[in-house]
Amino acid sequence: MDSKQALAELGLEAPTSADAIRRAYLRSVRKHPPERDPEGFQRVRQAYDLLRDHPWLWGTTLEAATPISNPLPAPPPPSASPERALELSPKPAPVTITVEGKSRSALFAVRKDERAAPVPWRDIEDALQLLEDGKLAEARGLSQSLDRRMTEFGMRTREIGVHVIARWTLVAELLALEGAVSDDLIRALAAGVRSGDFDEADRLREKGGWRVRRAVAARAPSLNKALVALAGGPRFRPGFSRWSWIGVGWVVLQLARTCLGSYFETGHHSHSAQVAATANGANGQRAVADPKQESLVKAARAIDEAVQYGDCNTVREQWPFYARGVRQAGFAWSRDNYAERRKRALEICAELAGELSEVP
Amino acid sequence: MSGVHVGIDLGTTYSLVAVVQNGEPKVIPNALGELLTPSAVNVDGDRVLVGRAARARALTHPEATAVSFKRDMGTDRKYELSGRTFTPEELSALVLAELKRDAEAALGAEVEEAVVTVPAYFGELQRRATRHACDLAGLHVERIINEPTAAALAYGLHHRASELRAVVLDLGGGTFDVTALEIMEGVIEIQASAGDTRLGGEDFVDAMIEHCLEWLATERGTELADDAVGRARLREACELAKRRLSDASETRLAVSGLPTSKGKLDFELPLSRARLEERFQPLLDRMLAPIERALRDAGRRASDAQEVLLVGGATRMPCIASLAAKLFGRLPLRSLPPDEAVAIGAAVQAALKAGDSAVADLVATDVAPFTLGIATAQKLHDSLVQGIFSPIIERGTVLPASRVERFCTISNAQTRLKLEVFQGEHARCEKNQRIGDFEVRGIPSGPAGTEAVDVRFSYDMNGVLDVDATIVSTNEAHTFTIERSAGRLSRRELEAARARLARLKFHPREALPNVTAISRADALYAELVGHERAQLGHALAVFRAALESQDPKLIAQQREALLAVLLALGREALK
Repeated sequence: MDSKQALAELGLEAPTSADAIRRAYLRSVRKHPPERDPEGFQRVRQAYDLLRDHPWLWGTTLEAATPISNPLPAPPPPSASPERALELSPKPAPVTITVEGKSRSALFAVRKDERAAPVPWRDIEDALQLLEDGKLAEARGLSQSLDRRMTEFGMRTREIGVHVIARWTLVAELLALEGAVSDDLIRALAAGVRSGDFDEADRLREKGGWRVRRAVAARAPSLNKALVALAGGPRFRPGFSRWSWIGVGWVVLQLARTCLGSYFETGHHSHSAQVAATANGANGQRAVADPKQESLVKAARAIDEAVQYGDCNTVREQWPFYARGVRQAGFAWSRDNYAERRKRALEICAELAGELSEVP
Repeated sequence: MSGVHVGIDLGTTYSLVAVVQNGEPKVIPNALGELLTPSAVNVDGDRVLVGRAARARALTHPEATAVSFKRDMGTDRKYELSGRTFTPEELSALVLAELKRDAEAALGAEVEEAVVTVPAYFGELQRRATRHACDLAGLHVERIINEPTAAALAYGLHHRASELRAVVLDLGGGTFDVTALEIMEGVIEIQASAGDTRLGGEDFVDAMIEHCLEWLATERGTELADDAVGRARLREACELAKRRLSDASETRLAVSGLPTSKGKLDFELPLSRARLEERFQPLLDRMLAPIERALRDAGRRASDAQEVLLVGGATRMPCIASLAAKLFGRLPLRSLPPDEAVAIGAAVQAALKAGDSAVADLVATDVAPFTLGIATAQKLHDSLVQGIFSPIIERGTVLPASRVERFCTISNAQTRLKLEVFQGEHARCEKNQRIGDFEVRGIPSGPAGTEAVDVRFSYDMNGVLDVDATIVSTNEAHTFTIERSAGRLSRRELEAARARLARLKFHPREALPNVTAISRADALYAELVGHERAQLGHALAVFRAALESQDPKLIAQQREALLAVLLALGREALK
């Protein structure tokens, strides 16, 4: 629907004001009441939404709509007269949290200050900072105030941004870990979330043993995945005998079978797909650490560059090495690039009358 | 016309049924000739009592009586009454069946269809539970509307020619709703709804009980014994004192023979409105957040409202009117009877739906009170963060509505996509209410982020959500409907519950006035002492003897005499 159609739908030729559009919309609603003509009503509403949200479409500049930040009147100043008992009492004093020297009042006061701009990313970063500093109680207070603002005052997900919410989820998971693991580990994990470096957290987790590992996996699934993906995968301590390796291998095999089996039986397909995806991610991380695969990555880069510059000789030179390497290493880690790269390599070779020798 | 279309207000404390006849809505009286039927169920031996008689027996047999069960709709709570177990749905169904019988008796026609109201802020599970209750009661209910919407319809029926902006504050027995609406060009436009499903008149009574208990502890050095009857009587005394304080600024709360830790205690506690309102302050503060949110969603300021409507019995409390007057800067309007407005609006909606010509020119639009969306995952530091709520239909969207959003795969070679549908306002799914899930299969295998699925939500006025998922590259469509009957109960469980309710025995309708009179007299008997008690005991005995005689004329005569005694004793325990 374009603006012309929208205007026609509302029975307008050239609107002059937002009020005229609104009246035209309501008149159209009377013709297509939602009760008896739902399709017609949705068309009318779509036209109205289009014109209302895009005032420039009909060539008029609308008076800038100022968002209403505080719809309720300010509470009266407190006084001591007895009639005041009937009136609204002043709000309880807000809890004040200090972050890096800045004073930040949480709970009610934050809500009032930030009603105009409800984007809470600053609060989430503050909560992470508090967690990194080991101030769990304050971080929890901040998180609860965020929760309340979210549900009571209705911040919109779109206004906040998905990345911020992802970080918020990690904060919630960190708070869920309180009591189950050491505060040092929570601190290290918070630092990891902020910097992307999970080595310290991984070391502490390994030190804590299986109880801690299980607690992290159960209470903080997303963080656990980050740990596994970024801290270089599971490590085994030296000193194991050959038999214990075989035992561990057997247990892992059985566990994997039960897990995958139960996923397929209970219909958690998407979950198992994600588990597989994470494993692939971990492979990708390790692939770079492996010198043999590192040369493969170099070859791939060289091919990409050559394709870009139309250098079919280099493509032909590098291709057999790359293709063989990929097949040997398995497609798992580079699946997304291989098919695309092959297509482009074939194209460029065909175009420049060269021939690409494919590995059987 | 084969049957009538009625509107039912299924309330926390009282329920009503109304109908539009000859273009005028009116509330239908029950078997006792009263407009309000208390939402109470009592099991007396093997017989079930509903309404006023049950409410009276809540004082004498609290363990066999259920009240305020609307607050537990959509939860797993079970009520144990005289050895029988009931779910909140079943109890509501008993009340609905009673209302249906009353309506059919009063109108002399069958109820063909009903429109039932729920608080605007009821979530999907609570709405489903309400539908189950209607199913169990044998009511054909297609439409469930929001209580403030109904109130707005009742109000708009007489004001449709004018142009104004109004705010409806609906404080019922158990729930609080705020609705901002505008009437313009003859269309009643609901612009935003917000509320609190656990804030109502009952909470104010709880605060009073707490006040009494504190007073007992400090002044008399005693506390209430763990006794259901004692607690029920204290609650009733507080309820009555609350009503008296709506007119007077001071009253005395008198209770005799209250079982406490120091034995039976008679006491009189002076109550002043100002003192109590201090205790009510936290509750009044809780009312601010929904009001603020409804106004902000509607893009309005408190001072823009030209009318403030108070609906619901609890708005008779002066502190509510004073709160509204302070916030909106104008005196609230009470042109509609606060108890009946919602039922009248429901009847108007029923007439509208049935195509009654008397209301044909009334047009109203409503909004979705909650955001609907699906769970998504996000890559952060190369790891997956799951459970992020991605809205599709935002709250405040005018219904019916259809919205589409595109989502893509997050892992390589992903061929399935799980769509988990949630309802709520929090950015993380775990804090929202899950209302269903589906799986989309057959997505072509490809690198992460290249395959996309268009998810379309279509939400109609009856609250049915259709989900369409289309795989973009293959144009393959999958359609799902979130059945409004698919909830916690399966079809078989529903059948079993219906059979169980059908086996219950009710008091015959003709006997209801007698049973109610005896229940009320019993409740008052426990309150009274000395001469008054003897007087009432005598009247009761005479009435019981009349019942034995089975002479309808004599029974009616003695019942009137008993009711006269109840009135004369002046301490009418129940309204």
